[in-house]
Amino acid sequence: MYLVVIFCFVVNGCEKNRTHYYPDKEIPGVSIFSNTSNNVFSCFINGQPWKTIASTSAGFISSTIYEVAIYLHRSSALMDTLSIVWLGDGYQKNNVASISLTLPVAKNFNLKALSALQGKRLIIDSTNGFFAANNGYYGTTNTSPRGKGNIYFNTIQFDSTAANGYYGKISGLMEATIDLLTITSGRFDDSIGPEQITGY
Amino acid sequence: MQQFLSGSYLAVCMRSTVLLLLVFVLPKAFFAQKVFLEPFGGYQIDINNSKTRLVNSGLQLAFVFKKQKYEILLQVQRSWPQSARYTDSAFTVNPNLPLYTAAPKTLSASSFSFAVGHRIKIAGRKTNNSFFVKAFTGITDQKTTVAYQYDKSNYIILNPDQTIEHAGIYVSGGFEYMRKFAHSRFFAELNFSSPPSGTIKYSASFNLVAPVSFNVGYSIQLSKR
Repeated sequence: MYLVVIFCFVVNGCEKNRTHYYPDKEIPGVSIFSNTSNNVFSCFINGQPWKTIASTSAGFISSTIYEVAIYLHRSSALMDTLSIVWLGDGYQKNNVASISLTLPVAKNFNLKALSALQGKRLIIDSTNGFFAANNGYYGTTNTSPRGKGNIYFNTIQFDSTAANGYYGKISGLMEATIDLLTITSGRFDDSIGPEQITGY
Repeated sequence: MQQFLSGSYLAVCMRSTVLLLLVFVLPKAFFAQKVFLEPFGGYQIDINNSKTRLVNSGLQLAFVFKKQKYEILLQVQRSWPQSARYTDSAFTVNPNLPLYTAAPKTLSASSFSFAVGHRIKIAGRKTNNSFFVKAFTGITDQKTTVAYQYDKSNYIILNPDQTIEHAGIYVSGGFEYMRKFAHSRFFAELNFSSPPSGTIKYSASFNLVAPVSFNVGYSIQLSKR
């Protein structure tokens, strides 16, 4: 019995759950809309609830898990692209492993510039960016068509420290239509560290 | 109230309180010189939430001991809510609607408590006007009800509050003035209470209530040995 307890302690030792999921009493199936770094994205996809994987910091033998990642894709085109990818808690009932928003950004783009979007509501129409619902985590299996929708950034702030890169947080609301998938009541509230940002 | 009676934590609290009563209070109460029934009522403000107000009512049994310097109190108390209005923010991603709307919010805090206390005379031993200090330990069940009024079909509230019920142990203490009559007594008191033990497991904008009470009451003598 003691060995089992010690084994569990070693496996889970020091692992910390960074996600705080508070159910929305008005709309059962999704979390509340918050801007307090609860590290969760939730929505309905064709009426079925969908949420991101629980974000945890590393334990003795477990690795860190993040629910959101940011990718900057450099290319030879006139603009680069920035993708915010929310990673699902498995495929869930809708066979969607991740949901992403991709925005075109200038070649000399700096993450701090995203602060200009704070408090703004954007109409994403496939020409100024697109939503995608991927059947794999972004960068591995992205076969989703490009979707349209709306997003509101209640919070979007990034700051950098010379040694450690960028830290930030984002929160807001979104809805989208991606081919046959309709995403409704989307709300996100994430804190972001340098490990979650790729391409810088 | 259901949570108040069903929570395992509270069950332990209640068992402890009953044990406390059986071991320490009731045997002493048996030797009381006089017994008074004391209805009281008053008004409460809340140290932890500036807008919270409650109307207070209660009933207590006072067991008076020799020379009337010390009394044991068994108290049941109910605090009735006075609504406090606030405004939260709600947003929508629908581009055909304004981005923001105000979401008026009403918070109503109420509580039910049971406590065992002490009343110790500190002044006025030979007159009809006396001053006492009082101290209580008990269990309390608090409920803060949250009600929103806004366009729920189109807007989503940022950091919404939710109705929360919480029970725990509390302590309180205060000062009391008492006027003695032939077979009854009038009293007025100022009492400070702690919030119940424990914390709210939700990122609410409000805290557990820590009431400051101003009560007036009347003592009706039930028996004299």
